[in-house]
Order: sequence, then structure tokens, then C-alpha cells
Amino acid sequence: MSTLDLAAPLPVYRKPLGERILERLPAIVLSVILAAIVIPPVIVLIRTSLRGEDLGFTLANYAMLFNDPHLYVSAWNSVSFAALAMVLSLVNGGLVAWLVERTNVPFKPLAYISAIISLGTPYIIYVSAWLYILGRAGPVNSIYRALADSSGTFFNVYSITGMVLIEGFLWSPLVFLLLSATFRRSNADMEEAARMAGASVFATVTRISLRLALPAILGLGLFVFIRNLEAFDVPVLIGTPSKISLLTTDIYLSMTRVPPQMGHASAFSVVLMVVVAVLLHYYGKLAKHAERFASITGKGYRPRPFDLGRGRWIGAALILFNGFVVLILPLAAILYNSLTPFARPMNLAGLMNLTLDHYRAVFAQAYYLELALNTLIVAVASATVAMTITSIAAWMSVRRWRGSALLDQLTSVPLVFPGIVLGVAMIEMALNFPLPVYGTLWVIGFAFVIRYLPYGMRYSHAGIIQIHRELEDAASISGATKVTTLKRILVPLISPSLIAGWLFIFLIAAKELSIAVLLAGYNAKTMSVAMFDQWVNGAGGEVAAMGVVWTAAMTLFTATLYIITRRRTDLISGK
Amino acid sequence: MKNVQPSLTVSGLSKIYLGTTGGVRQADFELKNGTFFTLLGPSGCGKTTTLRCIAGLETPNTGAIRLGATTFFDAGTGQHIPLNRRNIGMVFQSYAIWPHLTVFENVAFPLRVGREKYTSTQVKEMVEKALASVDLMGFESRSATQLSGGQQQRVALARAIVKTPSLLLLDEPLSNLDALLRDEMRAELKSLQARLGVTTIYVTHDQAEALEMSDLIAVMNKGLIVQMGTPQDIYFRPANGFVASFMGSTNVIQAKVDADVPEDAFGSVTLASGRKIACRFTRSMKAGETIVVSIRPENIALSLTPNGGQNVNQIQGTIKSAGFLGHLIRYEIDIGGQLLHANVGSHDVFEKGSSVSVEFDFQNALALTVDEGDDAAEFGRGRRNQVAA
Repeated sequence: MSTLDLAAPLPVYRKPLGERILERLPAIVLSVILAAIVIPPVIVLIRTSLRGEDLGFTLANYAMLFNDPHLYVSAWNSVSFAALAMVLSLVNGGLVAWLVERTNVPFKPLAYISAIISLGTPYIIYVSAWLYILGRAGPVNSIYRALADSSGTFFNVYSITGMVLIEGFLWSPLVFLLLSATFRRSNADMEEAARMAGASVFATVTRISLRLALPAILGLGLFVFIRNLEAFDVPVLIGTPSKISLLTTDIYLSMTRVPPQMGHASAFSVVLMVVVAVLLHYYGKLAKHAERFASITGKGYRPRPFDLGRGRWIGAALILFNGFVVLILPLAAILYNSLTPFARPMNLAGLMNLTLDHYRAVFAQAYYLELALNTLIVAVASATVAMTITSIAAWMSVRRWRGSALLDQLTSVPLVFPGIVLGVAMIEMALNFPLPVYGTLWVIGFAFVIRYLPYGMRYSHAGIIQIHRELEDAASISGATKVTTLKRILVPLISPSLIAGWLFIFLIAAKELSIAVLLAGYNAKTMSVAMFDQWVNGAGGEVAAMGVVWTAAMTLFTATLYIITRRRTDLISGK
Repeated sequence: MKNVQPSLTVSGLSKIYLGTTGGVRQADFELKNGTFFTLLGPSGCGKTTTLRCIAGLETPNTGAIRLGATTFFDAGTGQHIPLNRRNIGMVFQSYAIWPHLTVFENVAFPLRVGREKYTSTQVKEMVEKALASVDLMGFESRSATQLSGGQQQRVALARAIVKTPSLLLLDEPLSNLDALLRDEMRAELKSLQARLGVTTIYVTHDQAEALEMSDLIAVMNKGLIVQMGTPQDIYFRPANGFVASFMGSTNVIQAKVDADVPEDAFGSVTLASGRKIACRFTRSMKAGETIVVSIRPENIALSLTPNGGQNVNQIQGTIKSAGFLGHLIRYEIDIGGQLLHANVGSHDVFEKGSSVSVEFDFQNALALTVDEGDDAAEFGRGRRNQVAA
């Protein structure tokens, strides 16, 4: 036993070639499928952007783009819009998140309810509500007229400021949800240590809490900035009527012009894609840094909120104000608009004269039912497909299957497509597709799958990482094959994450406008496209009625699924 | 041990993880049917890797693993049975109880997913038998998450034995239990294993567990088996300085061999303080070799004046500290810059700072080699930092 001859040659084992190939096959097949889904849009865009009218190679599209001074105006508008709206949502959402997670402020549930309901509300509903509230006929300006200047307007919503305000409010709930997760994970011990060392609450918050959360906040800020840059709803609904051009609306306009300027739009899209890719690169770095910070505080968490003392009521006012701004005011406005025969100031005369006409109009037309069905089909299908693909991809990637090296990167490729850019790419692909798919739900569904793969991956990945490897090993030792292990052990265990991911994709797909608006055919519209069309046609009342019904349905659906998931999570974690 | 037919043969096994120091460099052993075999060593010594190779959770680089007439793995011929066809029972460190299944379904899982099919009456019967043997009757319909750590442990055990496996693998199964429960489970595990007569491989870094439970222990360090033998062998006749220091609270002192010593003889060594003492050598050594001397604390006698017995080393020392443990007192004695621990019956009381005569038989001072790559100074600092290493 004591002499060990390590020099003697021993046969080093390599599995037979067939077995090695077989081992890599599942991951490789999945990689190929993913590549076939996410790579073509990039190629198509680049190719079209480099093709002239004679179909030969040309840089004319880019030359035209960069020589047009209009580009720089739009770029400046886009950047300042994105940056200001980001700051607003970060301050608003971040403050509320901190109050809710780390202090003894009252009315905490209100913040959550506001955030969750707003997730299911189509942006167009929000935007139109805000346009009404801040618009000429809305309550803000009519109060101003009653109190001060009877002919002037206090605030012109059709301006960059108006856009920033509305976009900022739109993003506040999501910022709140993401940052509250960060604050919840942060370790109270570090704050207490600062307090013990003699720091005041203010000093503790600024020098310890904020400092610790800074990487996460910066990362989120950059993320929101990128999303604002890609935003389409607010720019098209407010910017376009007020002749404020932004990059995304420029692309949209050059696609909707007759004839559509494919080359120009593609070149434009490629430029926007490159900008987003560069920003995402830095976002990735920031996010990694944030995780390092968070990992210090992973353990020993005890919720010990700060006592705000008398400041508690200032905090409460802020939570109420936020709930008012994010939830109550817009919903009240949209409800009011859905009940008045025509848009008019919110006053007694208006309230005396309510009618259900708009609802009757909505329910009377089979067309709307069809729209709802269309939207549900597309959202359900794309959420299901995206979650199925990403849960398997995440499983292979987390467990380091052979051949799975590229899966992570492939699923994050679609992050570089702003919605409108993906829309442009999909139109070009659909037009060149041998089957007549252009203008059908298939194309919209396919585009949604591409767009939401990264989100699905995030949810699946997070779910699988929590599952101890030995739970799967134990199944294999027990005699189960890989497929049995997946079906009977892994999927049931990660079902809460899968359902949460599915729900998230379902909700954003159901209200997505920027992709759908380019891809929708006459018979293949989604709810948000129809609302957009009606809005452009001036049928604000019907849009409002549709919005109320749709938001109610989505909220009910979300709540039900949330309760089911919660019960399932409790079951698994043994509560 | 029911028959002499070797049950498990592991030969020339190695599994190196590229870019890490972990893994097993070479492991060879043969176990008779029904043996309780323990792989003991600090973390990173390769014990868990060896176990995972036998289970089929890792594919070895070289070597062969055979169970009776079945070849699980052979790097030479390329034979390889996937892990789900090996009929092995395994208990994981984390227990790996599936939280979405009941106790019954957890234990029944191996019967439901394997190649052999069982009727539902058979399944019920076998699960109940397994649960009865771990004392968990009546828990069938509980959710696995409603169980305590000790109960989860039993479920994991029941699941591992429900199919009467040909081999039972236990990966530090007791490390997550509290001390009291751990003692209880040790005895229970051992008697269950004896009852089932299944060949068992147990992985642990706890030398007390290994000594109490095993028929055979292999002490591993840095990917190699440094000594294999019965618990008595390992404890009383450690092969080298590492084993002695790892097996528990012994004094390990660095020394140099004075003159060539043949195997199984007494010889003289010089301690760092310049003091010469006589030791027992279990193997031949050359003059000038650096070695360690192991002296067990219970073999040291203290007195105020030298007794001057035959074949006894006598060193003068000063009491540095004393700890009262009830039945005995644990003294720390300074013998010229070197600390020595001695456990003495609590009737002999020495004042702190008093000068004492430290005495131990030549027989009880064991001269041990220091393997290449081992640091003799590390041994002196005790087990704790080796386990954590």
C-alpha cells in the first residue's frame, strides 16, 4: 500500500466516440435551434442596410443617415429623454423601495399592489390617462385655470418634459420591484455596525446603505436608460403629435412611409443596435460588480427596519403620493374617460353625465373579442415556448452539460434588439419567407419568443441555481434517466420560477406595442395595436373602455396565478 | 464478513480536475462482502471524488471499478455502466430529500423509475420495510419538508436501501446533524449496516466516526491513500506523521534521527531543543532524516521528582496551564520551547509554573516519517487546520 508508482503508464479513459457525440448532442442541438432563432434578424438587418435599390452593395444608407442633421436632433432628444426619465424613475421608485424595505413606514402593501397592477396595464392606457390628466382639458390645467390664469395652460404635456414625466412614472413600479429585492437582501448588520460606531441615520444611509447598494443602483440605472432609449410607446404617442422626433419613432416612420424605406430603417436599426450592444456590455460589467457586492451580504439577514420617528409620516405621504400617481390617478382618469361620452374636464357636470356607451361599443363588436383572443393566443404561446426553451437551456448551462458553452450567450443576443428594430428585421424576414406568413400572428409570436428569451433565461437560471445538485444526483443514483429526472424532480421543483417567468413574459407580451405595431396584419392585430389604432383615430373613449376591461382581466389573472405560485412555493419550502 | 469473495475492487483509480489541486491521484483497494469501509481525510484529499467515481457521478481518468463479476468501469477496455444502472444506494451530505414529494414517494422513487417494474403492492411492502428499518413508520404521508434533520437523514437512508442495493455509499451523512444526534445515528447506522450485510463505503473527515464505525479505514491525503487498516492499526500504528496527527489529539514533535535505525527497533532522536530521546521505529531510517515523534497525551506521566524507571524517557518541564476535565486534568507543559499535552488522572494536581518531570516509555514515543510535500510544523498545530485546509 505504501509504494505508489505514479510513473507507470495507466490507460487513460476516453469514452468511445459515439458516446461522446451522444453526450454532446442534446446541448448542441439546442444551441443550433437557438442560433437559428436569434442570429437571422441580425444578419437580415445588416444585409438590408448594405443593399442599394439595385440590390448591389452600398454604404449609401449609412451615408444618408449620418449626413442628415435630423439624426443628431433625434439622437439628442432620445438621449436626454432617456436620461431624465431614468433619473425620475430611479429617484421615485428607489425612494419608495427603500422606505418599504428598510423603514417602518406605514402603507407598505399599497406600494406592492400599485407595482403589480401596473405591470398588467398596457402602456398606452397609462399614457392616454396621463395625457388626459396633464392635457389641456385635464384636471391639472383646469385647476390652474380656476385658481390663477383663466386662459393659460400651466403645463404643456406635449413636450420633452411631459414625455419624461410620463416615462418616468411608467418605469417607477419596475424600478421599485427590482430595487426592493436589492434592499431586502442587504445586511442589516452593516447598518447597525455603523449606528454603533456613532453614525446618525442620515450618515448611515448615505455612507453605508447607499454605498453598498450603489453598484446595483448604477446597474439598474443603466438598464432603465437602455430601455428608455428603446422606448416606443411614449415617443410615438406624445412625441410624434408634438413633432419631437426620437430614434425609435424615426425608424417607425421610415417603415410606415409609402413605399417603406427598408434600407434606411435597417441602417438606422443597426446603428441603434450597436449603441445598445455597447451599453449592454457595460451593464454586464456593472451587474457582475453588483453581484460581488451582494454576495457579501447573502447570509445572516434579519429584517430590522430603521425607525423613522416623526419622519414616518413624511414617508407615508410619499408612499401614498406614489400609489396615487402610479395607480389611482391614471386608473381614475381612464375609468372616467371610459364613462364620459366625449373627453371633457373632470367636473360635476361631467360626473352627472356618465354613460356605458363605450363599453357597449366594445362588447358589441365581435372584433374586440377576436382581438382579445389573438392577444391571449400570442402571449400564451410565446411565453410557453420561451420558457420551455430557456428552462432546458438553463438546465444544461447550470449543470455544465458537454457542448452547452454557447447557450448562455445565445439566449442573451436578443437583448440588443430594441423592439422596433426587431420589428423591422422580422418584416424583412417574413417578406422573404417562402410561406405567406407576413401579417399573421405567427410572425408576431415568433418575434415575441426572440424578444423574451433573455427574460425567460433569467427566471429559469435563477430557479435552477437554487436547486441543490445532489437532488438530481440522488434521482440518477435511484435509477432515473436524465429525462425522468427532468420531468419528475427538476420541473416540479423549479415550477415557481417557471410560472413567475411565464407570467412575466405573458404580461409584457400582452401589452407589447413596438414589435406588434409593425408586424400586425389586418386580421392579426393584438390588443395594444388595436388600442393604438383607435387612439390615432381619435376614439379615446373606446380605448379607455377597452383598457379598463383589459387591465381588470390581466390583474385578475396575475393575482390568481400569483396565489397559486405562492402556495406551491410554500409547499416546497415547507411553510 | 460473510464470505471471502471480494465484493468491490478499485484499482489504479484516478480522477484529476484540471487546474485544481483536488481529486484523487491513485486509489487501490479490495473490499470483502459486507465490509464497512471508511475513506477518511481532510477536505480536498480526494475521498469524495473516489466515492463519486464509484457511484458513477464522475468518470475516472484511469483505473477500474468492479463489483463482484460486474465491471462498473474499466479505462482499459472502455467498459462503462451509467450510474442509473449500477444499483447503488447513496446518502448525500445534504440528504437530497425531494421537497415536493411525500416521505413515501421519496422512498418509493427508486422502485418507480428503475428498469425493474414493481406492482403497487410490492412497492408499498418494500417502502414500508425500508421505513421500518430506519424507524420511521407512520411518517409515510408527511411532506419531506416537515421533517427534522435527523428524520430527513433516515428518509435518505431508507431511500438508499429500499432496493437492497449491492453497495451503499454514504457521503458525510452525519456532518449536518447536531452532536447528540450524531452519536445516536452512528450506532444506528452501524447496526443497520450489519443487519443488511451490505458493503458500505463511508466518507468522513471525523476520525472518531471512522474509528467507531469501520471494519476498515483508508486514510487519504492529497489524492493518495496513505494508510489502510483496521481502526486499531490506524490508531496505534500510524504509517506516518500525517496519519498520527490526523487521528487525533496526539503530541507531534519535530526531531532528527541521530544514527541509522533498522526496522522495528529503538533509536535515538534529537528534538529541536537539543534534547535526545529514545523512540520506537516501525521502519528503517537514516541518520539525519527529519521525522516527527508522536506521543499520546494519555501515555505521559508527570511527577515532581524523576522516578527513573527502565526504558523511560525523562524530560524536565514547566506547567504552563491546566484544564480540569473531571475524570482527568489536561496539562500544557513547556519542555524547552516545545509544548506538550498530557492527560493525567485528576488526583495528581500540579500548580501552574511548577517544575515537573515528564516521563514516557520508549515504547510510546513513535518515530514517524514525514512524507514529501507534508509540512511537519503543520502537524504540531493539530487537526483543526488540516480539516479546514
